[in-house]
Amino acid sequence: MTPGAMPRFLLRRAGTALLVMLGTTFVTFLLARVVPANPAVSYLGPKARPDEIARIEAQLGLDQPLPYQYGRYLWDLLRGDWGTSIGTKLPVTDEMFGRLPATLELLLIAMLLACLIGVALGVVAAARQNRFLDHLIRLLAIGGVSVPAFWLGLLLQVFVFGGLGLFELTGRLDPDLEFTDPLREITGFHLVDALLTGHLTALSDAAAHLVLPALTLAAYPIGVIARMTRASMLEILAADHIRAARAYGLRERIVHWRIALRGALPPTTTVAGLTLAYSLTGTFFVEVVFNWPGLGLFASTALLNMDYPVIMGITLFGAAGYVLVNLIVDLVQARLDPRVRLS
Amino acid sequence: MTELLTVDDLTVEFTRGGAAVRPVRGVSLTVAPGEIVGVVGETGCGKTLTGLSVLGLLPPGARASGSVRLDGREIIGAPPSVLRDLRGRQVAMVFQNPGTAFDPVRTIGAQFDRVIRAHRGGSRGRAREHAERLLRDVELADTGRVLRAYPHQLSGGMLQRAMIALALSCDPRLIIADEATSALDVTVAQQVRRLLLRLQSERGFGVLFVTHNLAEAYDLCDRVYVLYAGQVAETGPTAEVFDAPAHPYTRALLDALPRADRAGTTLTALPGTVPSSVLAVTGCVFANRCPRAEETCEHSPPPPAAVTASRTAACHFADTGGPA
Ligand SMILES: Nc1ncnc2c1ncn2[C@@H]1O[C@H](COP(=O)(O)OP(=O)(O)OP(=O)(O)O)[C@@H](O)[C@H]1O
Ligand code: SF4
Ligand SMILES: [Mg+2]
Repeated sequence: MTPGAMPRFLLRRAGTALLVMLGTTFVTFLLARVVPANPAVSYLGPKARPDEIARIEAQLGLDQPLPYQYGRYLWDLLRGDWGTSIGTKLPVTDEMFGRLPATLELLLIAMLLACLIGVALGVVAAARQNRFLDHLIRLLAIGGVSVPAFWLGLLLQVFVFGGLGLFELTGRLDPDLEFTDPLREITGFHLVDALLTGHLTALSDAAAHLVLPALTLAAYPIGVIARMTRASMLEILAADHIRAARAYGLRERIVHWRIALRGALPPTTTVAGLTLAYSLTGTFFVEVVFNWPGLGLFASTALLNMDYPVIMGITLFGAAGYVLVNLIVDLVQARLDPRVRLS
Repeated sequence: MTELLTVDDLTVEFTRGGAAVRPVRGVSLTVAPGEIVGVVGETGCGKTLTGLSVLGLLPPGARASGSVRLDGREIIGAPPSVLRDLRGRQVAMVFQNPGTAFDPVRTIGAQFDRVIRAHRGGSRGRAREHAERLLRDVELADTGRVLRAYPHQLSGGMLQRAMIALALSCDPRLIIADEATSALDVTVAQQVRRLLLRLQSERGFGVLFVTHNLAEAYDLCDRVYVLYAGQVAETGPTAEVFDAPAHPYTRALLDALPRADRAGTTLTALPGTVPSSVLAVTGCVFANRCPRAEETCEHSPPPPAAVTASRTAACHFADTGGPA
């Protein structure tokens, strides 16, 4: 291995990521400053007097040329001043960071489910190629990628909660807990906090609230990951080294779950990462359907209220998440595939 | 003589486009302990499928009939657990393309570790010591580097040596080498042949040596089977078969070779091709290309018949003597 190959690879990817982020700020800036009606009016409300508008415009720098405004916007972003929510009059960053753990918890659990279920389904389908189980799994996978999240969410609510009485319908925690035995927030991740404080009631309650939204959010990635895993497994199972592994007397279980799956991981990771990035948008719908108090729900309220600073902030935040996920995927891929790492 | 491997009337059948195809049809062969036995023939004559049958490792969709006995144990129809115990321990394979026969995303060391411990158990450390011993035995000097390397970091020759070491890791009694040198440069191929010969004489395993390279078979093998269209055309001690071929096909194969002692004579390539549907042929499958074919050949298939005590040929007009 050439020394320094990894850091150079990392630098290159990080450079690209920065460029993408810069591009996004440009777009959010344009969206907020050029597209809408006068932002000063949004701040002051429809009944503002012209002199008030002029004062606010000057204060916001809206009377300056656009490039100057953009520069100032970037500078403010870097300083951590992402504006103030028109709706709540609180700093956008505070609002976002307050809601981030809820979204992250949902997203992480969903992705965990998606990877475990998707990969397992893909491996089993490949091992049973063209048999009943394979057909069933492929059908499920197609369902997962084609059913819209809000519809699947409603279905799960009606049948699993309404019909079977399993799990919880909306929210993150039973509101009664707040009064009887409140959960102390440490990380904002309810599962983690409940574990840390040994609050078992809250733990099971938080889990019960997570299942349905997480499954809804995971459906699409499960479908994509299962299909990708199956396809790469089939390709690898036909390869010489698999025949060799069998010729040396290794068990089918090892051949499938260790050797072939290990080879199928790099493409599967890429796809999992891309769907994770895609699921960032999915949280938006899922949070609305399940009344999950995260960034998605916040964004939908902001959209309805034309709360531009919040919309810009969340767009930027989402983009950063997207870029970060892609960066991580690249790195994981390089770790998993020695040929990528060394080339 | 108690044979190490006895293949008796082996037939391999596929269904292709609704019709049955039989790339291997009634092949019988034996390998004695410590013997090197060649299987030669043109591409597509069923060499690889014959070799894979011995491992019970035919491709999906293949149906084997007849009998393949390894050390007295029947392989055709054997349950997976029996096959797994035989593979690696009793019989191991060296593949044609060492570059793809190793898992590309794991180090050579990890692959040795997996195979060794699957069969012998024991700790990682013991497995590693064993792997190093094996690698030294196949004349790979820097064993630490080889074990740490990924397949794409080693040359074809090194990989093929490593593959031979891996094949020997559980002391199998039979090695199946399928075109084991075909993917290598001439000089490297020669080194690998020498290596195989040396290991064979030291350890005494039997070898089923599959190759389309007649010179290589001549160089290595005690006995040879010449396959044509999935059947054994001729068999016998290598020197006898090559020096005085009894079957017209063997003679044609040898005539097609450029030979130093016949420099200047024209290279006779074999005219014609294998019949597209060998199952429809009622007589000898070689009849459409055979320079000696006569009326009978079209109607009755020639059964394998003894030429000398140690040789058989499947030809109505097999040569029984005289120099080539
Ligand atoms: N999976 C398969 N399905 C159908 N037919 C097959 C399959 N594998 C092999 N065959 C047929 O069997 C015939 C013999 O194949 P085999 O690989 O044993 O030949 P070979 O003598 O090893 O040839 P080569 O020198 O090219 O390696 C081929 O002509 C091929 O058409
Ligand atoms: S039997 Fe006839 S056709 Fe067949 S090899 Fe012998 S001479 Fe040729
Ligand atoms: Mg072959």
